[in-house]
Amino acid sequence: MDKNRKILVAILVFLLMSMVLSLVQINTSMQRKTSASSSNISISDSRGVGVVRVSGVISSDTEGHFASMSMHEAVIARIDQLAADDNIKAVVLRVDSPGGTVAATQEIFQKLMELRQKKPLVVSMGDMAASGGYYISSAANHIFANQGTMTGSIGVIIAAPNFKGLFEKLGIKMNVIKSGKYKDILSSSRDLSDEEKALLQDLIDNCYNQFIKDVSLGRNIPIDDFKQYADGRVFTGSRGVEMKLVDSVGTFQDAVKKAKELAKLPADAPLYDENSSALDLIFGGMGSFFGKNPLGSVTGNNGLIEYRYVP
Amino acid sequence: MSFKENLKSLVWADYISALIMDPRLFAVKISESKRRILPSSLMISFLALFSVFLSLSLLLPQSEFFYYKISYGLVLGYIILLMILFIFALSADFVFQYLGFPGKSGRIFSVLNYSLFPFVFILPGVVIFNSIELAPVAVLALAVFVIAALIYSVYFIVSVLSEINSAPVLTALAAVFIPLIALTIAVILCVISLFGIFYGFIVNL
Repeated sequence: MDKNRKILVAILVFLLMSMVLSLVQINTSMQRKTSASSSNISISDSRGVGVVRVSGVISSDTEGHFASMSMHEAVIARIDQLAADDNIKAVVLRVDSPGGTVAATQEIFQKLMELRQKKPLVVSMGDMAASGGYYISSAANHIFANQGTMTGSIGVIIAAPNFKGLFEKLGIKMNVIKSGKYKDILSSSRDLSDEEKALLQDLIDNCYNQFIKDVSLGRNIPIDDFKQYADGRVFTGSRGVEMKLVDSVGTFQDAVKKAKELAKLPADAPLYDENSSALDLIFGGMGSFFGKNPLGSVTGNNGLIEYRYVP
Repeated sequence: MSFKENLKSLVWADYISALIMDPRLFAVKISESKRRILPSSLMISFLALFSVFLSLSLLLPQSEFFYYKISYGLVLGYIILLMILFIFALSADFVFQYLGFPGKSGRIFSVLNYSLFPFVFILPGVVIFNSIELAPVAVLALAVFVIAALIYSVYFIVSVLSEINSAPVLTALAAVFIPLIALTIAVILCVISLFGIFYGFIVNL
């Protein structure tokens, strides 16, 4: 056989092998994912610490064109995965979030409280763990924050723009037919009435009480001990320690070390962090580019009640 | 020579060798050959598309959708690809004939199919990078490779078409780029029109 032909046949065999290998790789990856989400089959090889990351605004919206599930669904799926894995002996929750919508935050909080019953949970706060970010953090056995972490902002907010003046200038009038007098509450075309303001304040107070009740439950401290700071103020990690809303000042590595201690794992126990596909890394950030309302910061949160720090 | 004998003789390997190493030699070989080159060219384009599908599936998050993608999706993708290549071949043939050269749309269509061969090599690279968990590097390498493969494909098409039509390289370049530009403009206009229709539909909801 001619030498060139031999080389070429070898290349073609290599190509065929890579096709078979990629099919096996994809199939194995899918089977692992299916197993991990539907049963207790381990995603880890040996006893170690799992990591859950909560970054950005907590929301049940599926943002961007590349996301297959919402942010809060992805976090809950990850918590379930770690809870089901017998090799995961402790979990570190890395929080870098200004908070988000009420229900999504509360669902994550509930999941973390369930997880805490089974395994030690340690929080490591990044740049920001404010409002809803603090809400979910309070479910942990131990909270670490960096000295300059921005945290706190315990409170609830609802905001909507009032375009009444603009509409009048432009001569725009809204035709509204409603079944009840409050059906278009927080409409952008008119002012709020005193009755509506009272109604919304009651709604906000109700959500606020849920917030402080859950923080009290998660931190195991009486509400009166921290209520004076629960007025929406933000503070740094080191001030948080003084206020007893944060346990220690420390880094992500300190949180991992603490998680290993609580789980009685050796210092060299492995850390199982979240994996992202290559295209996730590139397109992950594009969700915020494509998916968000560019006027979001100007027009408020469009009537959504949020546990969110909005500067 | 039967198919089995042909396979054993490895004469087909010379075609692929020329396809990679020397486009002009490839053009001479297909001009001299009495065999129909269309079936093998269709196999090459199918393999290239299969390779691209697998590479993207490896890079994207894997889900059950893969089975649809690799069955119905692959067939649909292949039909669309062949339609695009067919229109491209007809357009290039038109330009050649307009400039006074034979053209031969069937042969151009086969050459276009063969020109996709470099894309087959995307997959091994992605498999290797994926196995050693260097996914970000894989994407960068993939982007560079795709650009290189595109440039080689264009070079291959121009060289082979210039050879089989005995036309100057500039004529072959015109025959490739005029349809390419026309098709690109047509696709952009289609996308804009479709976007306009959908936007109008959504606004009027």
